[in-house]
Amino acid sequence: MINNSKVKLMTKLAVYEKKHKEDIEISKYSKSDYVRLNLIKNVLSVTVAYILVLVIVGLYQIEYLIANAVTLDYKSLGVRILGFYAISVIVFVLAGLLISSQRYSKAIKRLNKYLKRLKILKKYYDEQEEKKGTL
Amino acid sequence: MIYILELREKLRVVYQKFGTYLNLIFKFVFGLVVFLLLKNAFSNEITFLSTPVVLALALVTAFIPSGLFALVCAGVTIFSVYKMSSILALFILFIFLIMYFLMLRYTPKYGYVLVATPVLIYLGMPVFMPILLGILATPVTIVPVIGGSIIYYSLRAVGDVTKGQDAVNPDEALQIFKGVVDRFKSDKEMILVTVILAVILMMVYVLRRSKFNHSTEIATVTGVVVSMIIFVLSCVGMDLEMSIVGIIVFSLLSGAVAYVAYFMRTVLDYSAVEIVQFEDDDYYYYVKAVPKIKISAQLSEVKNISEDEDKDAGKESVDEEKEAEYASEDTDVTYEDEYDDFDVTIDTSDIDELTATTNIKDINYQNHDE
Repeated sequence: MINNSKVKLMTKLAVYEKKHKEDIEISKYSKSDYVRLNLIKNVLSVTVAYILVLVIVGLYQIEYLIANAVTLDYKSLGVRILGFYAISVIVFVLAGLLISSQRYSKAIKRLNKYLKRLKILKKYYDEQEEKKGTL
Repeated sequence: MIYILELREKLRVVYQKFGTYLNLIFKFVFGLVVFLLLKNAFSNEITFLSTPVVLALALVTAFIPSGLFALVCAGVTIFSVYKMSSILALFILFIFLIMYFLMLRYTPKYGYVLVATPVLIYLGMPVFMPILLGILATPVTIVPVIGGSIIYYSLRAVGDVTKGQDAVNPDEALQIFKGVVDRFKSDKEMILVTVILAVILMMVYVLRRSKFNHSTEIATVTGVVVSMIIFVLSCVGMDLEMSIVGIIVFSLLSGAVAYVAYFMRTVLDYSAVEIVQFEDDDYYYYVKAVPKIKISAQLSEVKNISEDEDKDAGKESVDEEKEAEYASEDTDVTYEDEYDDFDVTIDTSDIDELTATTNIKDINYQNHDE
């Protein structure tokens, strides 16, 4: 016998699972772990992007770099490159922290509704088990 | 107004029935437009985008998610530029990668926005996306809009410097590369347009989210007017390569289309019909969940009862039955005088806000034991 209420509930759960897969993935982490993981990803992303920018600048200035390879002030050049890198990392990491923190909060908010429905579903099963037991 | 609402509901029913196929058709057409523009951007000597290839690519991209679609577009562009010059292809590849690592990896679901933004800038209607997204989406869409704008201007820098050459002489490759970078970094139009698009998107979004009445209409009109003023002033003051008439016409068009899209948003609701599969101990379930439609086709009837008719009817007072009928349909009915024409006002503010609740329409199941 099909229990319509149970099917409705299971449908809502299935629709949520289909549309918000990432929420369930996010819920495997604590907020601090999730934010930290994203922080590492952000730092890596900014580093790769910065290296690509440096390659473009290097290619653009390659003639100058070759011509002045001996006389270049590598110390000040290194300080400037690292300075820009530090600024980029700080900006993008702060933005990333904000985004990942908000994303986690929203996911957990949605997930709470899903968990409530799961609890109701569990009650259905418990009642079913009880009925089987009494029979 | 009620006819438009009815039309919307009819469209929604059609969309719910054929949504899957309509989505595929929309995606196919959009892919076709993008690949045809890419085909025209490169000469026949270097592009591999023949008509059958364009059709095949558009067909394939109709079936893939938006993030992958953006990736295919990027791949096709880089490959076409590579046939012209490998160093320029490297430049474009690096721009794409920088955009991805700094911005686009946060918004993988907005691949279509990323592709549509450069296409619309190329077609002379850059404000369409910011107005549409400001009305319909969240502020996070500012990221693909900015990314799309930068990608467009990087490609334009390549086009401007190579001036339609089929292939760049390897001896001149470095000079051409430097020319492209020079053009790109000194492109004031890129900075201006990117900032304008971001500002318009945020402005429309903030106005639309404001608590005052008709905030969406005000947001749309303000977005159109402000973008027209800024772009016209920029054209005059900074010699932008855009037509002033085109900007005015396309801004108005963008506002109109964006507002229609907003009005039809429930028709195009992404979460319209869901088909899910699950199982319990006894059955497998294949369920099609259809959101309930709350508006009846003929919600209210507007009737004008003239003075003459009233006199013919013996100057009777307002028919109590009619009044009760109107009241039962939750409409605000007002009339100025017993013997004057009726002014019937239908309050449609509640109609607009529909709640989508899941309705189990089809449940096909088979017994687990069978």
